[in-house]
Amino acid sequence: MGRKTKKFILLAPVLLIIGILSFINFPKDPDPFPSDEQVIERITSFFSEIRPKIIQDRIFLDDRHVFVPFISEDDGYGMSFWVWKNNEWIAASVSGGGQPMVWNGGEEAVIMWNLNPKDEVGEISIFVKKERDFMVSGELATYQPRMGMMHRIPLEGKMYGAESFPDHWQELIKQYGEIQSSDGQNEFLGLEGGLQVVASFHDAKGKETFPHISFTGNSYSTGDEFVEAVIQVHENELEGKY
Amino acid sequence: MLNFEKYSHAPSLIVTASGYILIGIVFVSIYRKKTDSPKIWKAFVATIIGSFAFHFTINLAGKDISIPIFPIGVALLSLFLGMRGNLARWQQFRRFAWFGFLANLIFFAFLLLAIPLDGIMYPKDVPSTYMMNVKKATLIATHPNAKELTLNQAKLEKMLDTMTQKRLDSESWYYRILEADGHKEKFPYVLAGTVPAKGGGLKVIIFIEEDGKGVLITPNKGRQVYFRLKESIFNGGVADNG
Repeated sequence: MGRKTKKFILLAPVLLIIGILSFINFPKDPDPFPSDEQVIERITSFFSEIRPKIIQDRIFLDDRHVFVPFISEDDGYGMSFWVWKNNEWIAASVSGGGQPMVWNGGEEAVIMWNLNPKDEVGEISIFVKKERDFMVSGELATYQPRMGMMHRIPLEGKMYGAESFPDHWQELIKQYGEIQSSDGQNEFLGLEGGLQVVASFHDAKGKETFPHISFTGNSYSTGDEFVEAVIQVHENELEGKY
Repeated sequence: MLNFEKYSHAPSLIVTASGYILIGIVFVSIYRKKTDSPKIWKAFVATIIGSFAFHFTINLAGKDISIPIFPIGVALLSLFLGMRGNLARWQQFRRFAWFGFLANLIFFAFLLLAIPLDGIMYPKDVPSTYMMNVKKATLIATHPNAKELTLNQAKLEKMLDTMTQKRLDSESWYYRILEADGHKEKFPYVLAGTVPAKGGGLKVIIFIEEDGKGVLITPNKGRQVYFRLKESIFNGGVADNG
C-alpha cells in the first residue's frame, strides 16, 4: 500500500462523518428576526398576491413565534405569522386581511388581529363556546352543558395587536384537551371539536358592527396549521346576555 | 395487550408486574424439574425467542387487546435446534420455547384482570375517584346565566363523601332548557383545579349545577356520572328555587 492509499483510508471515514453531519440539521437557537426588507421580500416571493409595504410591528409570542402585522401596497392591512422551524424563520401563514386568528401551540393561546381602520372597530369581543348536546343510547346517557364565555379587547385606536386568552380559558382548553381520549368514547360524551373560538365587533359607540374590509383578502399558509382563523358571530346568535 | 398508552396506569402496572413474577416462578420450576436442562441462560434465551408470536388484535370495550395466535419463535427454534436430525437438542429446549409462547397467554389473561382491578381501585360511582384532592378547587362561570358566586371549598371537601349518584337524565335536561325562556343552562359552572385519584389515568371536567348541589363529571374514559349533594357548595347558600 502506498502512502497515498493509507492517507486516503484514514481520511475517508473522517470525510464521511463530516459529510453526514453537514446534512443533519441540528436545532439551533433562533437567529435574529429578519429585517423589514427581508420580511417583505420573503412574503412577496412566496405569496405573490400579497405585497407588504410597511411592517407595522413584530410581536414575539415566544422566542420562536412572531406575529408581524403589515400594511400592503394597496393600503390593505395584513398579517403574517412567523415560525422558527428547521433553523430558519419561515412565514407560516400570511393573510391579506386582518381577520383575527388564534395560535394555540404555545403555553397560552394567543389571539392576533390587524383590523382595517376603515372598519371603525372600537372593541373586539372574543368568545369560547361549546354547544349544548345530549345523547341517550340504551343505558348510556351523556350531557354536554352549553358553554359561552366572553373576553373584551378594547382597541383604543391601535388596530393591530396580540393578546393571550384569560387564565381560566386556558384552564378549560387544557381540560378539554386532556379528556380527549383515543378509545372511541368521545362521541358518546359529546366532546368532539373541543371548544370553539368566535369573535364579535363593536364600533366606538358600542354598536355591533361587521369589519367587512378586514375580513376580505386571501390568506395562505405553508401547510402546517399553526394558526386558525376566528369567525365572526352575531351576538343575537349567542345564548344569554353578556 | 391492553392499550393504556400515555397514562401511567397503576392497575396495568400491577398486573404486568404480577405476570412477570408468575412467569419467573414457573420458569424456575420448569427448569428444576428435569435434570437434563441446559444452562440457565440458554433456557432463558429459548423462552424469550419462544415468546415471539403472531398477535391478533381485537377491540374489547374500546380497548385494543392482542391475543397471541401463532408461535413463530417456537417454530424457528425447532427448525434451527432440530436441524441435521439433532432432535435431542431440540427436546432439551422445547419446553422452554413453548413456555415462552405460553407466557404471552399469561400476560393476556393478567391484562384482562386489569379491567376489574381498575374498577376496584378506582370505583366509578365514588366522587373522590374523580376529585381526590379539592384543596385548590376554583369555580369558573362558563355560561352568561351563571351568577357571580364563589366556591365554599371547605364545604365541598366536607360534602365529598355524602354525594349520591343520580340518574343522568340528559334528554329531559336538554329539552327542559330549550322549552324554558332564556335558555338557562343547568350546569353553568366548571370546577377547576381538582386532582383525580392518582395512578388511574383519569382526567375529568367537572360541571356544577346552578344550585350548587349537583356535580356532572365528564371523564376521559368510562362514563359520565352525576352526583347530587344535600347542601350547596357555593358561598352564602344559594336560594332553593334554583
